[in-house]
Amino acid sequence: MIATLASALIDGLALSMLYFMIASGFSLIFGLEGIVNFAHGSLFMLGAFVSYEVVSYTGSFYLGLAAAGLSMAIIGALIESGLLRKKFGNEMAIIMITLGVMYVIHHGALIRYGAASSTYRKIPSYLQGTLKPGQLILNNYQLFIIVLGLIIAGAVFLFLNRTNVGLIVRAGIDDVDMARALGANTRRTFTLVFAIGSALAGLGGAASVGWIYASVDLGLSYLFFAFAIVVIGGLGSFKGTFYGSLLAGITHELFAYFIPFLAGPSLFILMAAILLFKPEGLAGGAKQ
Amino acid sequence: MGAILDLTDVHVKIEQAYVLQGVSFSVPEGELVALLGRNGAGKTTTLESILGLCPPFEGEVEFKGESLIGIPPFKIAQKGIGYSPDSARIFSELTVTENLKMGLLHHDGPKNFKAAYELFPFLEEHKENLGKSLSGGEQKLLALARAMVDETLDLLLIDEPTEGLSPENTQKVYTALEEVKDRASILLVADDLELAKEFAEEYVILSSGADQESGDIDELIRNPDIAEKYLSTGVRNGETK
Amino acid sequence: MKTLERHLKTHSSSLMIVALFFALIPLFSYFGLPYSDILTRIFIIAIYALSFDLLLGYTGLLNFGQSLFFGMGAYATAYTLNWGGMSFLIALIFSAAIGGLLGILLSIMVKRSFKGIPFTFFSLAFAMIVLSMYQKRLFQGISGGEGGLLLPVPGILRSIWALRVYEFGFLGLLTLALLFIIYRSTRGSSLYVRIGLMVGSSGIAAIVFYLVAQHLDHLAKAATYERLIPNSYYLALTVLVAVYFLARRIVSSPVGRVWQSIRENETRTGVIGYNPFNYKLMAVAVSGAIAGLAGGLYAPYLLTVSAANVFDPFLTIKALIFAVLGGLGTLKGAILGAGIILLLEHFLNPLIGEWTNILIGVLFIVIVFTMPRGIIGELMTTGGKSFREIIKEMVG
Repeated sequence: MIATLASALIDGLALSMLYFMIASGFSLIFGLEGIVNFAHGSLFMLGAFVSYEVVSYTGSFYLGLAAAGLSMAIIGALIESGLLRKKFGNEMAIIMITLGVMYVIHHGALIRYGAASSTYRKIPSYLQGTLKPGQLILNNYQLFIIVLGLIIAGAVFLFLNRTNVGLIVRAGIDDVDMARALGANTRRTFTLVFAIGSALAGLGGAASVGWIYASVDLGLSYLFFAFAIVVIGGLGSFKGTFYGSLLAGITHELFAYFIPFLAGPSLFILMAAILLFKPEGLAGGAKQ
Repeated sequence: MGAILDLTDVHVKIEQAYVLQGVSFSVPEGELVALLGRNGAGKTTTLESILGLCPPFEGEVEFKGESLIGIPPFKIAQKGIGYSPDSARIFSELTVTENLKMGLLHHDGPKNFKAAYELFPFLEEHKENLGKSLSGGEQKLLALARAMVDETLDLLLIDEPTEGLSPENTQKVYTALEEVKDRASILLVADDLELAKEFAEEYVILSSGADQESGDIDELIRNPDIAEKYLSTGVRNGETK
Repeated sequence: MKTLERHLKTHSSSLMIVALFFALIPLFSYFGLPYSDILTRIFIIAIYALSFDLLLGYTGLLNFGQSLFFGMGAYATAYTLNWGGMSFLIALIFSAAIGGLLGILLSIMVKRSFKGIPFTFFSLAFAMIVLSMYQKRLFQGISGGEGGLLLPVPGILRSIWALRVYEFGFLGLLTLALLFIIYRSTRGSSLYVRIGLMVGSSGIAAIVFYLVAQHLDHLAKAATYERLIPNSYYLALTVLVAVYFLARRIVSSPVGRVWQSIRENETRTGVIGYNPFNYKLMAVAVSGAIAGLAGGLYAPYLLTVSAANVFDPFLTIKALIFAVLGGLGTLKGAILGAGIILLLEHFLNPLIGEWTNILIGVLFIVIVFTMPRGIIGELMTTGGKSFREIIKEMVG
């Protein structure tokens, strides 16, 4: 019982970190720019496949992760500066454009990969196998995802709280016009945040491949997960997103181990409950 | 002495509403100009049009002889213009210090808030608190401090700094204006005629539509009819709003 | 006669003619042009797209779980036909009712965040919960599992008599309309010309009627499957036309005007004395009922109903694409958008496969930049020109 509970918690934490990597970028972009990025899940999925390809060709796991993050950052910056910038303030047009991008990426990936799902053929040996302290059995790869997620969360937290650009980002989430009037180059900040958010999604996708496999369907599922988590944590709140991810991931795995048929909808039930009883989210939410 | 800020025939529309219909005036270097007028005359919009937040579709705005038309707001601000809006608009999720830091984004060299803390000691007491934890009056003072914390700015746009403040806090605003008046030119939207009379060298009165009146502040002080005509609360001569 | 005259003069007359033109399509299959099947699909999906536009285009509510209404409509029909053994028409009423009820339920639950992005997210959650339940093995009994529920072909879709009513009914209407137009437009001409034209067109009508009779004769001898296609076609077309005119009636009624005023400014709408919640609930329920009806029609078209093909979130995304491509808040746009995209898919898919969808995605982005109000929206506002004038200019 204890062993099962521990496994559920470790799996839950690992899942939380994947949730966090998709949702934190989504939330930052929404909070700062008011953009609901429907292509965000597709970037997660694309990151997974980029990493899968790079690892297949070069055999280097970390190169795969880096390539996924970097390429998604570039794609994100291009989407923002090439397509979205001209339509800022037009909520409907923004939704349409990101939907169009999502549509293209989704079907492009279908052409290349079809319905199959793939995983890394080669990962470092210390990420394979399990640790067995006492009666517990801990999966090394899940532990790796947890560590990676925490490092990224810490890095983003430091970026937001210790740098000038981070200050502008947080100020912009509050009141972007005022930040502008004080001389903050919000245009550059927007592109940067979009790139960072996309990179986080790509990294999350890359990290997920070794555990849940890369498949085209991930795109839409993880987009919806991101929706759910930002609602649970509070729209536009970074800390809220982190706690929301933890709650959602652990809940999902506890259900998966003990009441399996509720695991799938658990995230959406949480989301609906939050919208019903605390529409501003766990952290209060900087923005509605 | 030359003008630091020059508005010529500025027209602004916000959605359907034609808010400014040809506003012209200038702020001489080193002076404080009071911008007066009833509610809805377009005082706040005038400030926002200077900053490019609601860009004019016609007319010219020049700062130090350079046109500001078509320049994004952040670049306009970087040229050395500070802004303290009437509704404070402090960043509620940032601490007091971080709010002040936002006023120093383009200040090279060491960033210190000593001047601000000396003027408004309560800010230092609350420096680690979030903006939203301050009272309404304190938030207004923080907004003013944020606009003047960068001592290298050449022009400050200050919108109704004493509106809704307690007499005590109003006094603090007076002290601050006294201190900042010596180092920067100021365009001050004054809800309170006393404030204008105290500090301004010149005045501009915006009225509905294209109507406008300006001159030396002494003239306004000597001739109460002008104030009566434009600033009294009653509706007269068919003028609305 | 006076009312008919007025009706033909107004905008709806041209739409009526368009609908009547489509009435002829199944006859083409007699000559080996099998378009009825894809058009049936387009009509059904257009009804669904219309339900989406009714909500988003007029009330400003983006329901990201619209496929829930559609899917539950399809399942409701499957249940009534399979277990109730009732007629298809009753099943359709059930489908619309379940869609409307779900809409009311959703509205009551979402009361506290009934606008903008929160509503969109909540409607998504609502739909995803049901979808993931339906995908569980535990609920295989009601969902039919991966294979789905198999439907019996409803009697009305197999009946030769229904087909006769549809074909002769539509053709009779078409002939009447034609005669009336000739009668009206030749008012200045001599009596002989008028009589000649009318007799001539009646002659053409007689030939078409003869072909129809042949067609039906052929079908009567053939397998029921062949009757299924034109029957479904006519049923879908009839429902589409009826729903379109109903929706137009609603949006120009006082209720529709309150919806639009909520879209523009909800607070103001509340201040002038309308309770926005009631009107939004009505909008979601009406839209849900129409989507449910579309789902009900879709079920026998698919023959098997499974969670994967009627709850697919992509169905919602596509409805959004259809409505935006055609023009939000125009109703016609949703129908046109569905037609364009589904025809593109139908003809391009055999040639370039999955690339069709990439093309659609790109087309969609291009439309947002070049025609921000959608095709119908742009046509209606191009310098105040009507569609007819633009066609005239294009012809020369």
